[in-house]
Amino acid sequence: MDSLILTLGWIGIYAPLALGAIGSMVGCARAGVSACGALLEVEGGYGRYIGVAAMPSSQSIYGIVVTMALRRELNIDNSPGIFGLGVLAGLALMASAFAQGDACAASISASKNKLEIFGISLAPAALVEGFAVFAFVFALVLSAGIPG
Amino acid sequence: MVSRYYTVLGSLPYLPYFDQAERLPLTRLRLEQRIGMLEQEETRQLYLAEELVSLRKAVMARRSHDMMTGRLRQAMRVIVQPVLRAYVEDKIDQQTVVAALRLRHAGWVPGRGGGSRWGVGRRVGHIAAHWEEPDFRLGAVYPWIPQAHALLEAEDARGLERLLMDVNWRVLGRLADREPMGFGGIVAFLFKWDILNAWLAHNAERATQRFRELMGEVKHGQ
Repeated sequence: MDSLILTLGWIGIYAPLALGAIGSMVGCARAGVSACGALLEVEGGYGRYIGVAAMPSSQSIYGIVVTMALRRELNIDNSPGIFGLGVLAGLALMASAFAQGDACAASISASKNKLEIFGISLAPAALVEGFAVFAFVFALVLSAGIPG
Repeated sequence: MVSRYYTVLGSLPYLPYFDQAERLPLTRLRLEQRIGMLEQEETRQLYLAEELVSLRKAVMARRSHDMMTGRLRQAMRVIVQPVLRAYVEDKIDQQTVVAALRLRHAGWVPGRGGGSRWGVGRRVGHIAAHWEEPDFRLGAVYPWIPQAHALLEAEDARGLERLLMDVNWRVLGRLADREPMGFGGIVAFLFKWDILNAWLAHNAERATQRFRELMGEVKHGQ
């Protein structure tokens, strides 16, 4: 039983990084392939679209920081807390990266037809980023309360 | 996630409402190149569906009832993408309703001299059973029937064509909203492109006809 609880602790430590990275892969791929399609249609400003496609990569960085914040000597007392915090923070980061990928793809698709809306079309992606930041910050705050 | 849909949709331009467009934002060749980025089977289904229901290719109009039902049955075995299948079925039903309106306007009655082989799709029996009802009791599903009926009565063929294009444009708009980054978005674009192409081609014919009329007036006036 003890080893199971300790295993959960290890899962909790690595979950934010792994799930955040999975989310970033899918999000960047969704926005990236949409950007590739847009490159066929526009005559210039290619870097702008590729740059937008990289937006969902931030979730991986948040995941790395949360993983580092959770990393400590595991024992029976702190493993359940690390598991709960790590897995939930990871899921939130992964879901936000998926959603941000879609938002970025929509932004690329819309702004290639009407360049003047490029900035405002990124607002949904920025909102999604805000929720990822909430999950990230409160994971850090709560991790301080887990016994070391 | 199906990445090829994102690529194809990202490569397609914005289509303005057909009534406000002055030209096609994408040529047929370019459209086929972009759709060619899909899997071969998906492309095949799209073009088959387009052939069945497109305003661009009015092939079905020249076929007999048996040929049409046979072709439809054969095509529906191939068209397995749910969103495309649903659109094709809906479009065929819509065409059946319009055919019924035209036949009724011409004084034709199903099963009385004219026979019963007048339409295809899921609504044929229902329409025949409610032939005398103004909207064939389909008003809840097709709220445009009274307007189409009025346009037929007024012999306004162009108005009817415009109404049907508008109805289809809205249906496709809803489909694209449901699946902005999915196969539905591609289906919506293709069929919207067909509507736009048909509308612009029709306008070009009208413009040519008007030009000839004006030239005739000038010649006869001299």
